[in-house]
Amino acid sequence: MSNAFDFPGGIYPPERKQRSNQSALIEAPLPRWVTLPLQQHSGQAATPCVVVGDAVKVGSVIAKREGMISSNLHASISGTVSEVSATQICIDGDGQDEWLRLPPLAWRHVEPDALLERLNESGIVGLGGAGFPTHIKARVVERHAINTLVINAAECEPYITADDLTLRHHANEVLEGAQIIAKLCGAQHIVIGIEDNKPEAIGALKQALTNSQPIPVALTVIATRYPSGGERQLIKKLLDLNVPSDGLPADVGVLCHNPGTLLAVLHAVRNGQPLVSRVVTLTGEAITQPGNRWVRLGTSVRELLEQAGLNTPELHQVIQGGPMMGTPLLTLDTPVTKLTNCLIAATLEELPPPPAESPCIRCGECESVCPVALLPQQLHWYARAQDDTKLERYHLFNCIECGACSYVCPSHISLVVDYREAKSRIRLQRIEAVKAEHAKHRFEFRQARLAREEAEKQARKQARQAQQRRPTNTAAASGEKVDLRGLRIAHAAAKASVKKAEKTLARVAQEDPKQSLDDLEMQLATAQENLKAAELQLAQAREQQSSEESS
Amino acid sequence: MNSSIDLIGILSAVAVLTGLGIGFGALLGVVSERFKREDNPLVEQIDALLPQTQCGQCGYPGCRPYAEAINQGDALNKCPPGGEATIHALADLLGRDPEPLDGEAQSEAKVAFIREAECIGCTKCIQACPVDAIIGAAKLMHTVIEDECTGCDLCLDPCPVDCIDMLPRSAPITQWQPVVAHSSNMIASDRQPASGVS
Repeated sequence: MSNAFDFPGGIYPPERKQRSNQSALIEAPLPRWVTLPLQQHSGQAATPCVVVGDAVKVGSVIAKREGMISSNLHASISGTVSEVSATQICIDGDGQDEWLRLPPLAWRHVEPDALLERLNESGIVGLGGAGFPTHIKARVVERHAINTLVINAAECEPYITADDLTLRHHANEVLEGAQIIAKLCGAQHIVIGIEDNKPEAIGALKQALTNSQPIPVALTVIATRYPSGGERQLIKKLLDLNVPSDGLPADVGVLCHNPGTLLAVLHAVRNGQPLVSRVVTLTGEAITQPGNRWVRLGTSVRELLEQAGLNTPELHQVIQGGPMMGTPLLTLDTPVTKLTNCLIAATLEELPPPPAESPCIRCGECESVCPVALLPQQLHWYARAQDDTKLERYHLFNCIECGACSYVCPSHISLVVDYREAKSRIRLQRIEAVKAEHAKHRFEFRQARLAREEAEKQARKQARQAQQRRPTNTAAASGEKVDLRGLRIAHAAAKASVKKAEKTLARVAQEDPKQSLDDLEMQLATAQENLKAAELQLAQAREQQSSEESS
Repeated sequence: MNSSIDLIGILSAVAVLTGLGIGFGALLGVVSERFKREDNPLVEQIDALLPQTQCGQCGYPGCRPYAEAINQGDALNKCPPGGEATIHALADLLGRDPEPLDGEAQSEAKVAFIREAECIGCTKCIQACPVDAIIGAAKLMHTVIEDECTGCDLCLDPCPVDCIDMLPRSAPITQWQPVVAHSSNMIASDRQPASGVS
């Protein structure tokens, strides 16, 4: 604990990890069927590439990544595809468990591109909770220099022991996976952050540290406090670096990975095994055989809990994730996904529903426990009043939704629910604002196009009349004096706005090549249409004037 | 002697101040002519608050013309797609009193849908669409680009065969909004009126 720094706030909820960390990590029985949602990661959902009736083996790609931030999906059992819908793929198992593995790679000798491609093919995403595709995360070096790889083994939420058991059984392999990622991102240091309530895992890591090559690994044991496993909190605690509030850890040269992800990386590279299973903690008072299992993705939660001795009459609710940040499941007929790290089958006495909410008494407890140093109380008022400008001024989007404020609130206000709701409302508003802006540009473009068409029509008409020696229009032409100066100014302004639009487009395209340029291109097209119309009008007016002078 | 110095002092002070006044006045005049803005920044701000459906329900051909009309003093309450929220935002911006909405507020976002089997390919809706969201050609089927449609329903009237429907806009599941019922913030004993009080 020599080089431990501190983040503000934090709480000490009852850990209750004993219930699931007593038994060894075992394989769950092979499921007879699986349901695999197409969106098990952040970003865009994958696109199915199988049809009903296809025979698949374990590890066959069944859905391909779509767009930049997305991930492949693989069959987790062998059998036949029984359903393909817009949201999920179901497979009926044949009980054979036949594998389709990719060729093994010797990671120390292959090119980084081959490793990246392997991570991409294998559908590996961050298994800690966010589900960010690992191959995209590894490509962060294209934009930022990475100095340190942090292994986030803090596992600060109560109940969950998946990382603990993974490290006890596979410490060497996790560190080898870390070496692969460190090689990919060019990190010079690897630091493991682990809370001091996992002595067995710390022991296993200490043994594994000595033969981890080539980058030296440092182990930092930190005091148990929730939420030290938050990415920013852990980086502050281990390295005393502050990640900027609208930035990424990569901005301070750090990359953070979960042990489970690193193990999956190693399996993908060394064994050619795509991400088809993960470690899930099964715990809670309502099951008789708690512990950690290797579970095939897509296994039904109900089946899994029943195999662990579910006591249905006692069951009050099942929570996916931890008790602080997890979500209660509305139905047990839901599959285990890449993001399911823990299932808590809780009895009513174990996790009682919160008492009725009382008004805020402005005690300030929430402020003293907030790990991001926000003002939860103020956010609460503004969120309920839907005062979005104030919410953004008080940095609502820095909230990590850890739930520490709700935990200590003496009025039992569900603060985090308020924040989540406000966040999703503001996100929707931003999307709507972008849409409105887009519609505005399309409208302006249409107006400019109509003006240009009108000017062209006028020009054609005039040309026709000039050909006919203008038998009748002398009266019309002399009726109004042509405003040549005004037209010239309009022409110059149109030219300037085309130049400005071109410049903006070029600058934005250079700054961020990945950003969508549709709107800016539309603005440029609008300016060009306007310029054409102005040119036509000017030419027309000049002609008219000269003909007037000559007559 | 003293009084003449005072007089010179007073006169020179007056002269200096007058000179400064004329000088700065001229400078301001030149600057305001030289850097004159064609567009009105207030109109831009008003336009930014309008929903940009370009539906014309306000009586103006688009949001921008309505923004200009508001700047000239027109009422704030003529925008049904924007609803109460837009009226309040405009009232805040312009320091006017919010008025109740003139017309019916839209209950949900809509999108135009052409029943393609019935379309005769007359291109009338294409000409009516303010954001070019309908594609098709003469005597060929037309269809609406859902992402570009603002739900203004300007294409309904021109259609000679009434083959256009306004349907609720489908939102992706990632934009789902939680429905949270807040318990009232009243003190517990106030929640139920005491039975004894008449």
